[in-house]
Amino acid sequence: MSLLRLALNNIRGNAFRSSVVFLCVLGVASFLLGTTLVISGAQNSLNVGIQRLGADILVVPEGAQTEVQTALLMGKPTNVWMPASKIDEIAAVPGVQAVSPQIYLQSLYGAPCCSVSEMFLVVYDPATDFTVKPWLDKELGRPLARGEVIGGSYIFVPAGEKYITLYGYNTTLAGNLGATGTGIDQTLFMTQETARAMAQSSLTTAVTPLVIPPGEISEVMVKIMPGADRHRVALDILLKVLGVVPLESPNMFGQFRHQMTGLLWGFVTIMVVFWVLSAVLIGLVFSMAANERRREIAVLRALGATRFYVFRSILAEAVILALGGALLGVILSSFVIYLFRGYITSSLGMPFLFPGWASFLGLVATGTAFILLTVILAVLLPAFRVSRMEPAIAARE
Amino acid sequence: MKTKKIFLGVALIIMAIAIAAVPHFNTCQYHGRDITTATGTHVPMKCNWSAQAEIAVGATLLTVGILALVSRRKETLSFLSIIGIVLGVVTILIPTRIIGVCSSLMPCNTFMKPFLVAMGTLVVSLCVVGLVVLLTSKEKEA
Amino acid sequence: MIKLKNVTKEFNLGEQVITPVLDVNLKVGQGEFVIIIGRSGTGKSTMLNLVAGLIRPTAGSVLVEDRDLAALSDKEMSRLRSREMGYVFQFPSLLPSLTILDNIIMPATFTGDKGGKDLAKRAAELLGMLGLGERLEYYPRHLSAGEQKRAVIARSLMNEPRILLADEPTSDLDEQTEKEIMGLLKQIHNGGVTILMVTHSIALVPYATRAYSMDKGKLSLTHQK
Repeated sequence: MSLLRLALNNIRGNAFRSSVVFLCVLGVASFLLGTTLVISGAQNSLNVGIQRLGADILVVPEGAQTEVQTALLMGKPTNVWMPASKIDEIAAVPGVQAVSPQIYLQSLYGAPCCSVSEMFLVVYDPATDFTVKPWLDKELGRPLARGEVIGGSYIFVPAGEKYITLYGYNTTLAGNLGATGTGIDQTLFMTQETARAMAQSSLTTAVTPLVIPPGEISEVMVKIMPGADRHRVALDILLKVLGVVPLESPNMFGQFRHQMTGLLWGFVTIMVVFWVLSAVLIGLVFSMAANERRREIAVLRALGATRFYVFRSILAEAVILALGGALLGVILSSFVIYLFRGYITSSLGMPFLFPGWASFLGLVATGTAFILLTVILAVLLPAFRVSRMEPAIAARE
Repeated sequence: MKTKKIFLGVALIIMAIAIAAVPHFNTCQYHGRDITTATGTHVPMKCNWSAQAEIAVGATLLTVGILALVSRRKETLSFLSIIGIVLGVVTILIPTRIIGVCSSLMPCNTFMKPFLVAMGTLVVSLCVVGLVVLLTSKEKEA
Repeated sequence: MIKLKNVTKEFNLGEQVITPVLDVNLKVGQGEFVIIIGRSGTGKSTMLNLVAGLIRPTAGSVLVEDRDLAALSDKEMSRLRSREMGYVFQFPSLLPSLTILDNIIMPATFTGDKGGKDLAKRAAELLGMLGLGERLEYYPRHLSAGEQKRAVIARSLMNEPRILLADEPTSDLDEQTEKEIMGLLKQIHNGGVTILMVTHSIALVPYATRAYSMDKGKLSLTHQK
């Protein structure tokens, strides 16, 4: 009779007690992994989104920092403008290797083309762009032609249609960028040539014409020279170019990160409370179980079991329940979060991208190990106490 | 065995009601995101039809749950579990393949579809576990 | 085989100290069947537990096969119990979550015997000898009190012990079943096993080669064949 078999039989022998421990562990594991996934999903999304932008610094009109970040983060369109002359001024700042302007537009409200009421349109300059170009090179192998667009992962051609019609102008969806979990997924990218053609066409074909203010841009993407100090370059831009604010990529979405930190601390507090209560409950349940089974343990000792065997048998039960509960909790939690990832994004108002396999498995392994350790610690004392009891006294009581 | 049977029956009844009712509060029409014609008529979208279809699934699953509660023979309970598995799969297939829902960011896609997939998976899992317990049990009746 | 030398056992119950075993001297030779009779609370079970090493004496020494139990580590003591001794508890002592067959095999776990099928075969044979051959896959709750007692005796014989310790093996049993159980013990004794048994029933004395009575922690010889 192996220890494992004995432990399994004991677990089966008291289904209620075993279920209590199992469900406790399941709850803690689900909550632990769930909150960790949500937070790491948000961080992952931010990192991928920033990487997708391809820029070291974003230069936006003064006062428009929040709007631009919200547009990029959540895909909520915005109209911000600054003179195109700023491009050369920024390019002249020491340490700047490349600059590329972008214009922000939006689709008409409730346009049938789109999965959202207002779609975020980004017009880029093919001659200088480094956001969209890497994707184009890799996936299409050529630049976009006039009338072609590429979209974030949520952009689609309406069912039964061949084109995405914007302002009465038919555009062909050349492809979709990979998911980032941010507003980039709801963004449509087009060249300046296509935008001008669309604006021209909209005068006669659209309900409301598309107006692109001449000589105006929305923001400038900046790539710094290798080895240059990004922060130094950003400061120089701030000092030398009036009316603009530089946003360093790693520091982007600062307000959101601040919110996320608040949320994280909230989650952590609840998690710690939950974890402590569960550990105490599990310890109590095993204490009660050990007490109930004193006679049984006395019998085992009389049959020749050592104190260490008794200790190990109780620990084995706890480990089996902990592993089972943790694994199931983790699977359930990941499954639910994966299914409801869109809902998380829209209800919490934060970006979310499910982490890659390696990160995910790492989280699962860490979470399971943590839970296992918690349960073992909770059970150590009752297991030790009952194994040290004089068997004859245990048998009597 | 009796306790397990009651647990299965009650769980199926609760899930059946959820499958039939919850989707109706998460369609695009319910959230005012549906297509309206010039004359003001609401055009039912795919998610509406999926929600309607789930009423049929829910009603059938409810019957299975009630029958599970009142049945005693192992054979009958096994057959009911198999029907439960099929209904669970259909619950998942309706919003994902058979009828479908609207596009990515619409309410039906962010909540209704994942809810039904989760419910369907739960129904299938419970019925599979129930079937295994029944087949491996030595008791003749529940 | 078993020697108790001036053995005393005290228990502290708060401010009160009780002494169920007081300066007891006893020798049980190989092949003997010794019964100790006494009323409840006279220290009989305590004495049996001292011999099994389940409790340690407050004073004196307990020797089993010339080995002082106090000098043994927990591991050595457990090994001695599993290989040399069988124990029949007064209370129903089959493990409720195991089948009868698994219960009988249980002692072999502690000898480190990984015999597998051989163990199951031996356990089944033992149960067959004790009239429980049809009950292998049953659980203890499905057996009557008498059947459970027989199963416990089968378990105590699993490792072919040289000593069998029995604590009120026939309590809670009817007369007929009592006779059956005592008949079994006699058979085991005839097979060469040394038996030390405690009971409150004077009627069982004829089964013994020697009998003592225990009162207020002290032993006095009452019968010798």
